[in-house]
Amino acid sequence: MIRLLTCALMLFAFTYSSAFAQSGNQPELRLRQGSSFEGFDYTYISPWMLKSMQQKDLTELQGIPVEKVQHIEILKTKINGQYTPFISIINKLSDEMKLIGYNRDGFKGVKICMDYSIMQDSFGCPLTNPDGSEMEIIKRILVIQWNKNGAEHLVTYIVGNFTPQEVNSIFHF
Amino acid sequence: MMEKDLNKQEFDKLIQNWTDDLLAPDIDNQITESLIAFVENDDTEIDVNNLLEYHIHQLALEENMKKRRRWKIFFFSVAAASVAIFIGVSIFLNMHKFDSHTDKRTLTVENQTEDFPVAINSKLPVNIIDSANMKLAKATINDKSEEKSNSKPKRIHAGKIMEPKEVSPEEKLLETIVDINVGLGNMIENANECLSMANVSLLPVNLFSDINESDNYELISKEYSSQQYTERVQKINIIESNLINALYEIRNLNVELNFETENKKTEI
Repeated sequence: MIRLLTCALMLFAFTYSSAFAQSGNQPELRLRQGSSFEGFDYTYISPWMLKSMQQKDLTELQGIPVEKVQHIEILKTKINGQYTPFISIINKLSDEMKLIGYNRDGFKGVKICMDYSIMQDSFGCPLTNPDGSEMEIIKRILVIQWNKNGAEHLVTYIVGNFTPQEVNSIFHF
Repeated sequence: MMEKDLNKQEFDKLIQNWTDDLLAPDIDNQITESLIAFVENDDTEIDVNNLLEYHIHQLALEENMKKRRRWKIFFFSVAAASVAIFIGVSIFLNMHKFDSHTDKRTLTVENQTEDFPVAINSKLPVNIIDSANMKLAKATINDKSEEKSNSKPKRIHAGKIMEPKEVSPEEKLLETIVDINVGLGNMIENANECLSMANVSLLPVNLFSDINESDNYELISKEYSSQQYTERVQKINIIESNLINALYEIRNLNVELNFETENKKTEI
């Protein structure tokens, strides 16, 4: 019994130490798999890259407040990208989020998904804005643009903490 | 095997002998008592050798139990020590890492009475401050020795003596810092220049060699040749243009956002 307890304790120590040491370091790269797809170009904008952009006084990127972005991943077609592997990882990611916008015109289409939630205090009560509305926060934005005709696809995945107003400004509304 | 009929007195004597000669004082007397009770109630034959073997066996069991208990204590101590060490090391590593991110150093410039403004320090990572301090110290020593010998001026680059014509951004940065020492009146201007140059150099080294995130800032010119440096800067420009283009596309999408929309599943 004591030996069992000893093993369990040591296992816990290993798990705890490794988890504790790695906590908060590596962002989860959801489109990284796309870097291996033939004909696709994967771009990862790391937090450090974003910080260096801030140092260049680039406080705003096309309407996105840089200080609120954690990281950005971009997957786009270079020349006739393979459709099947592309669609498999995109569908998996979009299924985790809520569909906010959708538009389809023939072979072309746009799908916008977001992961948003209502902020709560420590007692579980929703926080409200000064106007009384619930305080919402958007943590992930996924924009999928596709064109089956030319097999031209562009996926942008932004992770950060945005308000709906900031998201609207990103989409130029 | 020797067998013998025992009466009460002989048995008492035998037990007394065992107790005095064979058994240790801490042996459980219950065994002896149970034997006495057994003999008192039953006048059967007792196999002395069996009894002796039985007691010796009990002694061996007792010793075995003690050994096992010691091993258990030993294992438990080792486990507790392991847990303490792993937790300690992990906390230490994490705190060290945390410190490396948040630690704000100051540039130590000779004859300078005040540190750089906080705004500048907060933007420069620790590595470049340390590197600049080290280079500055080397440059100061080098300048003094050069003054004495009046020899041809040379620059220090990553610990090696380089020709004066090869001026890296790192050296420019160093020169800028040294200039600050000369003219305190121009300190802010030079510091701004220093910052702008640092921005060029302060990009994650393995940003392009791998998509993995790198927590380590290094001066690119410290590790790479000018050709590699140029290639990396070109790749940085490509990444930046990819980013700008993607965000531009998003900005020009003609899609209405509806935050009330249910999580519909659509086929692309």
